[in-house]
Amino acid sequence: MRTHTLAAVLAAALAFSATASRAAEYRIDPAHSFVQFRISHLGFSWMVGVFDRISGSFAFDPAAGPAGQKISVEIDTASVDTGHAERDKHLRSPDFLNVRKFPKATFVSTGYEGDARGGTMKGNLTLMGVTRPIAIAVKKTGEGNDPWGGYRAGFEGTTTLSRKAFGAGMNLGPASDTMQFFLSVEGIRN
Amino acid sequence: MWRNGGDRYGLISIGFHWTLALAFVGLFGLGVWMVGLSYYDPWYNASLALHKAIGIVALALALAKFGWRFADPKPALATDLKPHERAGATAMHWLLNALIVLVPATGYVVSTSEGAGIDMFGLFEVPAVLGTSEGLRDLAIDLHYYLAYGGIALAAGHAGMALKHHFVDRGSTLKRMLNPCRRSKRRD
Repeated sequence: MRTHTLAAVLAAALAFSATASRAAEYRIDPAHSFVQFRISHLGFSWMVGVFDRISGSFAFDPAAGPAGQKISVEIDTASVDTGHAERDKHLRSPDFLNVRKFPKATFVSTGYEGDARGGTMKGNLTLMGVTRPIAIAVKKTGEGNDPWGGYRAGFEGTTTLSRKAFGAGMNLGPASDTMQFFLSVEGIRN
Repeated sequence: MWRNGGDRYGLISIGFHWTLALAFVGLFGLGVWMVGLSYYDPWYNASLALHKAIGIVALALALAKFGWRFADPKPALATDLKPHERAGATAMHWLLNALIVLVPATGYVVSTSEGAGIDMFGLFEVPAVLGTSEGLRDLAIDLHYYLAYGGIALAAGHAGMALKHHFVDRGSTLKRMLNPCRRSKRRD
């Protein structure tokens, strides 16, 4: 009798934890997620671009503490779009992203510091075949039921990268090594 | 004199040949040179603008050349050519004719793939008229590159054979493309 009770409690606990972990998993909605970047043009102005195709998933589970927050994103490098055909062709070429050789850029988180409202997401960014640890300042932008029966959560993040750190490519001048990124990610709970 | 006559080329055909030859070789050199320029080179942007505008002129000339060919049929190949030379020359002419259209046309597809037109020396703009998918755009990028390099190799072969017929075989082929037909009446 006692063993039966224990088994029932264990089963219930397992079922609960499975539900809880599943409930914290989100798949990224590509139509409402953006990887924008800007880089100085000769030090005079900003050149703004975006990667049109991203995919991935994240875990957002404030109850689990920092260990419950994870993200894994894959970016299609050929989807780079700066609104200018010849520049985008050049950006896809071996002078820059070399998309034939490196069709994907990935970010996989390694640890989170902060709370449910925001913090720092650390992880490894693989870009042009070079993997480096980066830190992204993140902030929750909102969460709740959407009008179509799903549950969504959204975050924004910012980070800066040095082109040299990822193999640089063509020299664009001293003002154009640092790239600033603005990320907006929305996920639908599984 | 203006039109082809009998076995001779007229001035119009000769003009198309040498203008397109100059455009093809010039655009190839300009293209190879411009993609190697550094970002801070004064010609970095101007070279591409020139390449695109001259490329459109070359495409228009190539199409006009084909139009003219219907109005003024091509003379027969030189009679002093051997059968395998005739076959080779005919194949070469078809390939080069295809390339003088395909190379600028693929360049147009690449440059207009995001909807921007092509500025013609600041005078007017050739609009983007094709809805270009990413697949077509990427195909055009590859074709533009490989057809240009293949075309310049073929053009070198074409020029080499013309010089060989002229200097080694003492044939009439090169002279036909330099001296226009003087008769105003066709010999047929």
